Amino acid sequence: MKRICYLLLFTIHYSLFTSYFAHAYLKAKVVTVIYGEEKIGAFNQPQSVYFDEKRGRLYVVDTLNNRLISYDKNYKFLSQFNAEGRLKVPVSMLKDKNGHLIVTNKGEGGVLIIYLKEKLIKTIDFKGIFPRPVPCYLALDEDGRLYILDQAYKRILIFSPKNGDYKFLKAIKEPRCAGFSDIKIFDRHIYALDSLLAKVFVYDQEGRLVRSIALRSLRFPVSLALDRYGRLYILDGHQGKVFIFKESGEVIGEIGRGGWKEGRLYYPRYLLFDKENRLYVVDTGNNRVQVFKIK
Amino acid sequence: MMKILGVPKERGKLKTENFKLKTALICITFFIFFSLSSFVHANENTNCLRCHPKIKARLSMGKVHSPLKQKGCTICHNIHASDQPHLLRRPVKGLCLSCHKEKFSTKYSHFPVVQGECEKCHDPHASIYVALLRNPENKICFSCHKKEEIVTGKYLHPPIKKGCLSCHKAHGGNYQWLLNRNLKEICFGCHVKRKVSTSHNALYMEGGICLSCHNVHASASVHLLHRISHRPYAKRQCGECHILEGKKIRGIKERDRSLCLRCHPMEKEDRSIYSHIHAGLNENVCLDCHSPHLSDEKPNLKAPLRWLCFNCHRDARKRILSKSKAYKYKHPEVLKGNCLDCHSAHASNYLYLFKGGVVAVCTSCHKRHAKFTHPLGKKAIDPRCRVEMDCVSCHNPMGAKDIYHIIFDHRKELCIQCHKIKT
Repeated sequence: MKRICYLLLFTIHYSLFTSYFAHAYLKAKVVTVIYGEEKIGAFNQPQSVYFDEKRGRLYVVDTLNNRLISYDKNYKFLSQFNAEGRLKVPVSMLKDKNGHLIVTNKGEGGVLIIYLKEKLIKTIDFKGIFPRPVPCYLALDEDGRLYILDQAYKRILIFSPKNGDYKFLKAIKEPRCAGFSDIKIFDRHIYALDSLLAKVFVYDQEGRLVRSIALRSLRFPVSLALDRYGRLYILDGHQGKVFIFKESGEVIGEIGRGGWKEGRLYYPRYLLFDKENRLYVVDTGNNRVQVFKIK
Repeated sequence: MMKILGVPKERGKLKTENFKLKTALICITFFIFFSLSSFVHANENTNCLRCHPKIKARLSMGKVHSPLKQKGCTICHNIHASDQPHLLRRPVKGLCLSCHKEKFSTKYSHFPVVQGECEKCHDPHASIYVALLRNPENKICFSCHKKEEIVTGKYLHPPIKKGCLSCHKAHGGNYQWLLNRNLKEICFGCHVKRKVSTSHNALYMEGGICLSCHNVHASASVHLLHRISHRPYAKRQCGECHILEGKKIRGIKERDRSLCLRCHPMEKEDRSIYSHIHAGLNENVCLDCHSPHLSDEKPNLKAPLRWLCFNCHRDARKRILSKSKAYKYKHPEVLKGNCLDCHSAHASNYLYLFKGGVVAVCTSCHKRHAKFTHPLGKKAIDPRCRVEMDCVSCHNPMGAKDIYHIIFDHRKELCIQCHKIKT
């Protein structure tokens, strides 16, 4: 009997101890804060970032200034780019395997493919997709397939690469959701965030729903990211915090708090992880990008 | 037994006698304790009521809260000191829930229940009304839910006369609007389905569709119809949205928002950064706020604006209705629920889905501040985040702790956020 009591006590203490240190482990430190450059002026409501792992470059989508700004891996300004004035309210960008830029040009309601070497710009063809999509955030998988979030019709459009262009393959439509606000690819699975229902829908590459994760403690989740360990990071725009969840939906930590000083977030909009486990938070309300290192 | 255990007979006798004595002693002690405790409670109550005559008067008028009757005032109050108002032992919510647990694990909860404001409706001591209500049932409901917003005409839905609780639950429920059953079941609980189907097209038999034309509470027109109609509905052009087979409706042309976009193009809104029209609980997001047939609110809104906004923006609702000191001061238009005075209903390129830049929106009403104010815009860069200062750098109209909804205490915290004191 005594032994059982000791064993029980030990288990309780051990679980309390480990849960405390799990929280402590997941604390984050601000590495740097990117404000724009004196030469080019401050950001105006940046909506997303993209990190090019191959070349070690960070791209900031400076939405209301209609431009993309690139930084080196030490976050030193390199250049700005507006595709000869073609960018109108860009919200999301990424780079495909061929080095072409893919940008959601929200002001024109389309997605551009920018062939940098050829100095050519093309618009992805939405012909045959009804109703006409309203593209927002983008994602690419390991096979080079492009995923476009269609906010207005609660769909994820899948495009396959073909001779430097993208052809429409199929759409994942989720009738149970209230509208997706962000999409990320991790471990050959598609993770889509529903802000209103505070849920993450997980699909396989064929578009079959694998599971949905209900998130608690959130007011208005706006973006998601996954670290290399598969932990789910959810950005709460109204609370100005990043919540860290287990796959089961249990909160295991949080980063930041609402505010204006460095390390605090004010109506942030986007999250991204690079392979070195650095977390990029687009702090839209403060017109800056904050980089956190997860300890 | 003693034989089996091998205990000597004499010792066994002694033990039995001891046991009897002990039992008797315990019984006597319990008897004394209980009789004393009831005496103490009675004595306690009379002591308390000596200085609280109003409560004494109430206790004699009707039903008395059973813990008070049985165990006295000290079951809820600490007679010496407490952190809580009225010297309560715990915050109201915790105190009530310590006994009344069963009703509060539902999907939807009534806001006072969430806030722990049980005493808003119930008298914790005594009342002449059922469930220790402070007033008759409907009077209590109308103390928060403005009667003029609910009873909008001379034709009343009969259940309203019976009381709100004939359709709604007071604490929480598993159906929207705290309904006690599924809407379809509630309607067809009284209205015979067969009769309804002959007077309406069979399509209208879908659950919840009744509200699209009828006001469930009251209306100025017969059959409790809403007063504002969607143009195709008024002109009886059902074919604009529905698939018709002769005169019969066989379905809807599009299930998503493209149905509405045929007449109400939203290209400009679709091209804005922040869009309100891209998320909604309905497959056709427009129907989250607008009614396709009849309505009582312009422009064909399903309910008063404040209700619609709060239906999704739960955090804003919580903040606005909160009595916390942190959100003590709120903008009067926020309290009135005039959300669209500052925010755009559909889409915007401005943060918080504002109609324009913060300064422009605020100075459209606060004209004096447009001429004289703390430097704003390019002249004043907020050192905390290197962003141009605007009104929301210091104010939060949705609720803040200091006067004029200033975010920080204006006597000691506010200015030093940016103006560092040189020592």
